[in-house]
Amino acid sequence: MSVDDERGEWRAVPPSADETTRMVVQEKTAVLTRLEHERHAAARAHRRRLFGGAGALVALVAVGAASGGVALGLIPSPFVGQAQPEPTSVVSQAPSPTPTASPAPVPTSTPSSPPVGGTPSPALDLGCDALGEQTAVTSLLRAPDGLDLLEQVYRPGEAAQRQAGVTTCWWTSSSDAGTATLNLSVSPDVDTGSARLAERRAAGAADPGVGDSSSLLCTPEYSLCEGGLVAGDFWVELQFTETPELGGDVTSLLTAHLQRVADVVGPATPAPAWVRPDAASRWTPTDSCSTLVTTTPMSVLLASPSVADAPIDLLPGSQDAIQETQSDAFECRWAVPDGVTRPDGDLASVDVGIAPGARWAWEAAPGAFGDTAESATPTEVAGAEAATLRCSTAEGESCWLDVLVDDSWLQVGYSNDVPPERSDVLTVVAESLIAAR
Amino acid sequence: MTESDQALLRRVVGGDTRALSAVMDRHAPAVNRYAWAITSRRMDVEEVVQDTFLTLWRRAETLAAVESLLPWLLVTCRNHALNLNRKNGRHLAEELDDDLAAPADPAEARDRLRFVMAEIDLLSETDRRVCELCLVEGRPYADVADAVGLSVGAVKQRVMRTRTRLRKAVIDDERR
Repeated sequence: MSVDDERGEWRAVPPSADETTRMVVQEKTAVLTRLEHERHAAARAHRRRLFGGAGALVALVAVGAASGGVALGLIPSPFVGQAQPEPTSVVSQAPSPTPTASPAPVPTSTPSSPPVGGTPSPALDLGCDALGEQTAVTSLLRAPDGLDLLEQVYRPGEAAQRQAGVTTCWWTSSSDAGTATLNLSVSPDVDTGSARLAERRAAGAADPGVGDSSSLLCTPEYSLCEGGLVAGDFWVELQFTETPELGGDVTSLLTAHLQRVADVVGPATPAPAWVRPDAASRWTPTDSCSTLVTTTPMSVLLASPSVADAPIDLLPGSQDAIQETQSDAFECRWAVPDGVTRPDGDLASVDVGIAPGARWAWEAAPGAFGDTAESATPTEVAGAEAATLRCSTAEGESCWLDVLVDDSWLQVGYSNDVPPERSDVLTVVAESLIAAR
Repeated sequence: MTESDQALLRRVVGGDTRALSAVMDRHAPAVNRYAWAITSRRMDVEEVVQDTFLTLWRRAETLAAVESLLPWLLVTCRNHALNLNRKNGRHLAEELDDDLAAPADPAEARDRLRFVMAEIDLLSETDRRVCELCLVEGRPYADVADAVGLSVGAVKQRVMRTRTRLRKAVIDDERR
């Protein structure tokens, strides 16, 4: 049994001030990182622990630093453009000494018959780790911790992006001085990409002259830079944030990074496009949420009279242009309108997501906190092939329903705080949507 | 001037991660010490604390009437620890104390609050009562909040978009 498991000994006394300081610094970084994909409601069973997780925590404790200030100093400034102490190997790695892209082996995909309905592959045959390595992301972020945001999909919209061949990678680097994040999406839709880039340049974004087409715009008041490029058969979108403020040389750093990205993706060949199964055509959206109807008004289904009976489109919000344009999923909400008072106990809203053809994603869908006997329950839904009711088990337990119908993934109630005792309305809503399709 | 928990909470509801960071600066040490006392393995402390503050982010809009966030954070921490202990109990070969985070004995529950009593003593009478009812007597937070007059869950309607979406929409609007 390890030291960690010797209960009753280590728990007998509180953590020291140094230990507490170290843990808080580490936890803040981890929480901010996880917030970025909060909408993924990362499954505990699948999530990736930052900085090596428990091992790193033990290692940090073992360092035995004498003060909180020393503990804070363990994490270097995340930005290569600033003077900073050398990072320790415990929590970060030194930046790549050469701020240029590694000679990139050209990723190629063997042409083959397009897959119909099965698990889709990203158009770019490079995972996020390889993409970060080959584009020398350490030249931009000091100690990047990377995630593939579509490696595991939690929402139908994410499944739809994967079906469109999209790759979305996210890196962060943090210290007590601030946090920098880089979000990078790759799509084979170069036509849409070229049009978007041209629009941005026309609106005032700079042209960094990278690849076949590119743009870059930094907005210091929002600590945000947005860039993009088209190179060969790929469209790349980049979002960079740096808090508390953007560094003075951020434009040159990002231009260099865009160039490295173009050097990697430009020669690559896209994988064959995923092909939607025929049955899914019953859900193919023609005019966003206005085409999604129920047999009975939603306010009646929810027994919540103040809920509007017409759904609204969930806006793409912080998604980048690739995430915004490359999904054919429905993402709709029926909700109590602003300014309307809702009686206590009434449901405020219900969200419905549908990814046409995403049987593969339904089969792989995890619960927000990992499926267990208590959190995932097979449920009968009229008209559906199968359904699973899932409930998260955090404070304020809430449930949603994942339904398999027409080779497609229908999700009802995710993030709506529907308590277990009201979970029957999720089935009612799903059945009404299916009957009306 | 130090911002109140309520002011920080309003900023959290608006999607301000700096406000969440400030909340962590204020309360994470106490939550860590409580997690330290109730988790079955030291390696779980960090995970439970992370989950606690992520839950705050996700559910902030339901907490607008809370005077101090600490009672809610401690209750949420307790629940996450309980869930984790149960999960560990299912997956680990060795036998673990399955109900470590929720002892039936109130005296034992009080003992597990020993590392955070200084913070609890600084709370208002209402919030101290919430701690007593939830963390010692084991009652659900929502029930207790209702009993002591906190209108949790009925204060605000959920925002129409996720917080990040809202933030981006504001940015886009301001740019026009």
